[in-house]
Amino acid sequence: MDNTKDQGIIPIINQITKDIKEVIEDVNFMTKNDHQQRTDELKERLRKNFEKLIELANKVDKTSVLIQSVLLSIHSSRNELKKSVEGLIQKTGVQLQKVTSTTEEATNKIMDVAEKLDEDQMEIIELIDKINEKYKINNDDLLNQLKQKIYDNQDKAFTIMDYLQFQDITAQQISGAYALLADTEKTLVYVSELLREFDDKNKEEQIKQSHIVLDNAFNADAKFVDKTNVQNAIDELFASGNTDVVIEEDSSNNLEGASIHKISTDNAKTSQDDSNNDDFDIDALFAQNKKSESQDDIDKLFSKN
Amino acid sequence: MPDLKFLIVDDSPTMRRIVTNTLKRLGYRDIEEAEHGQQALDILRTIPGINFVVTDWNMPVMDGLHLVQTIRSTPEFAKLPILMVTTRSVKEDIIEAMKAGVNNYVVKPFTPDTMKSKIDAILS
Repeated sequence: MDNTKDQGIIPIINQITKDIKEVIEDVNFMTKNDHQQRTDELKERLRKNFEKLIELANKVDKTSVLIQSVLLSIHSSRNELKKSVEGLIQKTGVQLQKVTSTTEEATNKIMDVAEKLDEDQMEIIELIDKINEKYKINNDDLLNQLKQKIYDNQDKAFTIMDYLQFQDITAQQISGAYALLADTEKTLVYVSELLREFDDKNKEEQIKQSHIVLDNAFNADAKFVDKTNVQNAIDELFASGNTDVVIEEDSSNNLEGASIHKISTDNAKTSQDDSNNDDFDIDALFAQNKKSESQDDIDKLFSKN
Repeated sequence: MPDLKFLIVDDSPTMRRIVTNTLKRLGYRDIEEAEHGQQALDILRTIPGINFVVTDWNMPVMDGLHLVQTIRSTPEFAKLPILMVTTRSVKEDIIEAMKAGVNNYVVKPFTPDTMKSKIDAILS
């Protein structure tokens, strides 16, 4: 039995059963003469052990088949994990990046148009002045009304630009979703590595580590909501310098999950308020009990500085 | 209107453009831009006359908070007015920014009026 260290279970059992058989033969030989009762007892015990060993050998054989099946399953699972990481997760990551770059491109085009509108309004004002200079319209009231309309349009062009802040905010939310994917990828890679030692039959290439590079480049809690109250709170915070000040929760938090809400500007009469509480609430995924402060409350902190 | 030379620090080209437009509407024309904190420091060291920094918080390479801390610990820039413009509105973050040395704090999305009032408050 000393040479069985590196052997499998079945060869060991086979060796034991062989030994027992030999012992039984010896006992049979001895029982022909003396101590008949004692040797009968020994013989019976050995026979029972022998039967147990045979039974054990059969069970081990069946278990071995099961283990082979489990190993195959592990191998298959690791392949599926690899496909998930390299297929679904990475492709989704690429798609998310495309969403960000597409919205950025579109935003810049809208900004180009808004800036052009602004420039054109300025040119129109200049032209009106030139016309008035040349043809002496002498109707200041009419001219002022006309100019006011143009200034209003200019403000609307500026408001369009203000609204385009949504792009930065949604880009940060997308980065948050991207970070979730990276976490999922890491978990899958970890699980795959845990299973690796059971799957060394086919030394497949290790699933590559996360392809997603993350740093402090985004705020997953970013929201495109009216921050007037938040800003007022900040003002008070800065004004008072009192960091212990009790800060009321921003009412806009109740609208988490809504898409785009009105930015309160003087000229934002056409602001949309298309709250859609059915939207996927990425903020909820990142909430971590963080309480978003209203600008009013933040202002309290800064007001004494 | 004071003669100000701004440095806008934000990794989002869209936001840099929006902040630049806002400042121009407020009458400020002298504006430099940086994509992250490290680039901002490089610009501060190489382009003279910058006397107002508007910075985002979340940026790659060097974030806004680190930028503020670095500026405050660098004697030649230590007194630069800094306005942080960010999406972060959690109290702990705001206090952290305050302790780092920002002069005021604006949450995105902001309005031109808010930007103006904060700049005026810092300058006053």
